[in-house]
Order: sequence, then structure tokens, then C-alpha cells
Amino acid sequence: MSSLPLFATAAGRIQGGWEFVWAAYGLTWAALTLYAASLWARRPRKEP
Amino acid sequence: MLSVLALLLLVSGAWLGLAWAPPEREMGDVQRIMYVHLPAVWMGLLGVTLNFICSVVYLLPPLHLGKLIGPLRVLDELDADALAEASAEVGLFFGTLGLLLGSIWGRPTWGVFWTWDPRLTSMAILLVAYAGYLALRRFVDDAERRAAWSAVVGIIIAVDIPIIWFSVRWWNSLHQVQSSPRTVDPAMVLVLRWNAIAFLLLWLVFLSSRYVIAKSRRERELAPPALASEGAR
Repeated sequence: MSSLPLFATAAGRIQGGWEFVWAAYGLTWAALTLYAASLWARRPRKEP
Repeated sequence: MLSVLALLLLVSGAWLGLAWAPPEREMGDVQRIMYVHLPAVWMGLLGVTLNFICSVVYLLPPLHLGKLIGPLRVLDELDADALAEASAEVGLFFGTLGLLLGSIWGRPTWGVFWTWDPRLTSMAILLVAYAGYLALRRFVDDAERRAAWSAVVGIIIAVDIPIIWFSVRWWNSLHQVQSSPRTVDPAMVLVLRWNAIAFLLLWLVFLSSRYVIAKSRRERELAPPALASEGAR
């Protein structure tokens, strides 16, 4: 029975998916870095 | 100092989320996205809630408490308007990040990057509205008029905040309802709180930096012409 495709795939748990996890964390770090850089670039400068 | 602490917590929080926390029973490792998705959305909602408070403070007349104490204001108009601008932008940034992260999480769990679910749709409406709010601030040259109009718009948009929060309870939503720490593995709760504190510190750093930018611009606009031209030189 367990060799049937239905039972073989119905593990009840998502397998793998690390590419989505890395994409999410990569996007987070990239976005935080870019926004921090934009705030740094826009900071008010004192006139000489 | 605060930014260093935020960075340290963020790096350690990423390690905790990626390597230390256990995989979830049904979603497996994909659930690790929660440790960045939820804090990002929370900071987004915190930003827009602060924008609502600043908008109300800007429009409310000062409380007159007699001659001895004088008029009482939590923030003066300049501060309230600058903080409203800063909180809107920071809230929009974190809210958009949270929505994108939710979309990445949705693909392996729901099978789609996007669906017109009440929670997702109400959040998207909020973000589009705040993009409009920031556009309005750019298009109006007169500082007083800009502050008053954007305060009114900020209050109107804030109606969407409770709709987002309760949408998963009011309607038949694909998005899950809010979890309770009592029903979640303590290790997961710890990692989520760790990352939430890291994001909160980062939110404070971003907000204070953006507030300084907004206040400096507003002071230049309101400066007498001679001073303004000296500042522009």
C-alpha cells in the first residue's frame, strides 16, 4: 500500500523549500541595507 | 549604539531562525520565514499607527490649562508633522517588506504568491494608500497646507489598520488567525520575540534618522528668507 503514489506523497509535511527561506532572508537583508543606505545618503549635512 | 545593538540582534536572530529553531510539524523548514515576516509586518503596523497618532496630535488644538501652566501639547506642530512623515515612510517600508515576505511564504504553503484574501488585500490597500500619502507630501509646496492635508489623509487611512488586524476573524480568510504563545513551541516563541526586538530596535534607528531628515527640511522651509538662502549656499 505504501508504495502507491498517493501514500508516498501524503507525508503531511512540506518537504524542502529552503530556496524560499533563503530568498526571504536575502530579501530582508538586502531591503534593510538599501533603506539604511538611503537614509544615510539623505542625512542633513552641516554647511561649512 | 542602538544601531550596533540592533545589528547584533538581527544577525543572531537570523542564525536562531535559520539553524536553531525547530522545523514546524506541517510546514517544515519553510515556516522559518515567519521569523522575518511577522516582525516586518508588526513594524509596518507600528509605523502607520504612529502616523495616525501624529496626525491627530497635529490637528488637535493645544489644551489650555490656565495661565500658570499655559497651553499643553505633547508635541509641537513641527515635531508632529516631521514624525508623521518619518513614521509613514518607515511604516510603508516595513509593511511592503512584510507583504513581500508573506508572498514568498505563500508560494510553498498555499501554492500561489498572491491571492485576493481579505488580510492580503486590506494590507495591500494600506500600502498603496501610504504611497499616495507620501506622494501628496511631495506635491504640496506650502508647508502648513501640506501638514494639515496629510494629517487628514493619515487619519482616514488609519481606518484600514483595525480592518487588517481583524480581517482574519471577520471573514473567511486563507491567512491563519493570530497564534497564541500557549499553542506554539517555546523555542519558536523565543526566536520570534528575539527577532521582533531586533526589528523594533532597527525601526527606532530608521525612524529617528528619517525624523531628523524631515525636521531639517521643514526647518529650512520655515526659516526666514535670509536664513534660508544662507542655508542653501
